[in-house]
Amino acid sequence: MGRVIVVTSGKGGVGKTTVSANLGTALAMLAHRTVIVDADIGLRNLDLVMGLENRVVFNSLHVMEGECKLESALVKDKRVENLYLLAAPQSRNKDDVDPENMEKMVKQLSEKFDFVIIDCPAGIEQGFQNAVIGAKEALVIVTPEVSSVRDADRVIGLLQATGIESLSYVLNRLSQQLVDRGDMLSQPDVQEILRVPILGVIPEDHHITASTNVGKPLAIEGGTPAGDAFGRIARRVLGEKVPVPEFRYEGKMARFWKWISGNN
Amino acid sequence: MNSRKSILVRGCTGGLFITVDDSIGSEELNDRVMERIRRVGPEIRGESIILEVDKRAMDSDALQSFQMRLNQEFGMSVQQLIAKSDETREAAKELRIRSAPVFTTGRDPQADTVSVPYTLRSGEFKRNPRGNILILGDVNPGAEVSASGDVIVMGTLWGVATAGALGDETAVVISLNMQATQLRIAGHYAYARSPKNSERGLHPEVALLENGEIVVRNFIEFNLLEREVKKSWGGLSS
Repeated sequence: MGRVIVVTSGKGGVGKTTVSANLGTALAMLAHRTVIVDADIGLRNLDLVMGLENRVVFNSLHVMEGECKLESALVKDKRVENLYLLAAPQSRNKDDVDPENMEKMVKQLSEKFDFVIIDCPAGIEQGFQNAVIGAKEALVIVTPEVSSVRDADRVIGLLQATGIESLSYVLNRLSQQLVDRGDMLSQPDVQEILRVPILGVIPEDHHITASTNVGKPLAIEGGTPAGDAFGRIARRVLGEKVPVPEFRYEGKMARFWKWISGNN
Repeated sequence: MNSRKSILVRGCTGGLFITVDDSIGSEELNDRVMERIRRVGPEIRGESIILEVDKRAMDSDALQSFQMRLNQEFGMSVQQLIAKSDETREAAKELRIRSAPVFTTGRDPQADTVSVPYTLRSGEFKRNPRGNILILGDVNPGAEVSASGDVIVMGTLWGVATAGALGDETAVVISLNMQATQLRIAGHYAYARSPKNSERGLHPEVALLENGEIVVRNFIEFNLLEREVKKSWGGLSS
């Protein structure tokens, strides 16, 4: 039986889909059979972020309603071995999902894969309930903003009341420069409220925007601050102890001197 | 029909204070009181009532039918019964409703303390309308805690805390780290402090009413005994 991890947040726009895509990619690159499931029925975009939009024929609702086999709805990523996507329908909505069918499908997936990553929709309504139903582990995405922390806290409370066995959070889009200036919540600030284990910190990184737009997860190639952070998070998911590096902001001059002195 | 005179309704924290004259017959009591509550706007009804019935004798059936109608029609409940008749107070006791011969805002020495053994997360609301509430954890931002008596938080209070929710002005809020969004005591309210100057670490503090204003004091230096003296001497020292 594979591990089923739901990626959730409560608040929208904090990076659930980006984290799902990149974490899934990073796990697959570490040679684990991984499927990423878009549970945002009616507002699908995981396939866009993964760059697999044009290859989606069947979606998860087809599977749940028995219109096609599970195998034929899985889209294999050609760039990364072991990586699969199960897309959401765009034309239906969340009420069309039968929670029982969802649970059955997730169970089926967990028999075939080492990791089932579920990209949860925003909100705490039925869509959230459906996404969480088959998962044993949850990853709560939070950005260093009070509104995001507030919603993450609410979601953690809801998750603790369900059957989730293991729960941790990822702090996304942290800008050390803003923290140093006192304009952004720091990691200890967030930890003080959420009080659950932290799985990783992803620094604010402009490479994300580009990677999302061209549909190529950053984790595929190393060398970007966020992409490397996803790699570390994947290794922590596998149980490795990987320390969180400090994300120092480097001004242009600092980078120049670093380049001159050659310890890049 | 001069129901205005025979039924007097006042607002109190957390609900309504309803005084029913002895001139109203026991068979029409329910209807008249319900009708009177209906005339109070739903936004200020609150959730509980304090019912004052003077010398009227009510048995537990009468009281229970009143309680049931109140719950069905308005979702409210009788919080306290003020009755001079021993029989009525006995009936209240049977139904586990607090009762007293005269109304006092002072704390009830028999008040229950409800203990919550975990941290309240955003969106959670814990209340005890029958005494104190003890939180063995934090009250996170977006969470709320309310009690008719004292609120004690053995952790950081970030959310909203209401003490003396039914009007007890001697109620206090105690927390090991006071960062509350808002504090309310017996209808008075205060914003605690801006999150900017929040310090990490534990500094036990107590929030209480002084001359109609909520003040926050260091709990170690503050002498709770002083408050007891003030209370028993009817505030002579102030």
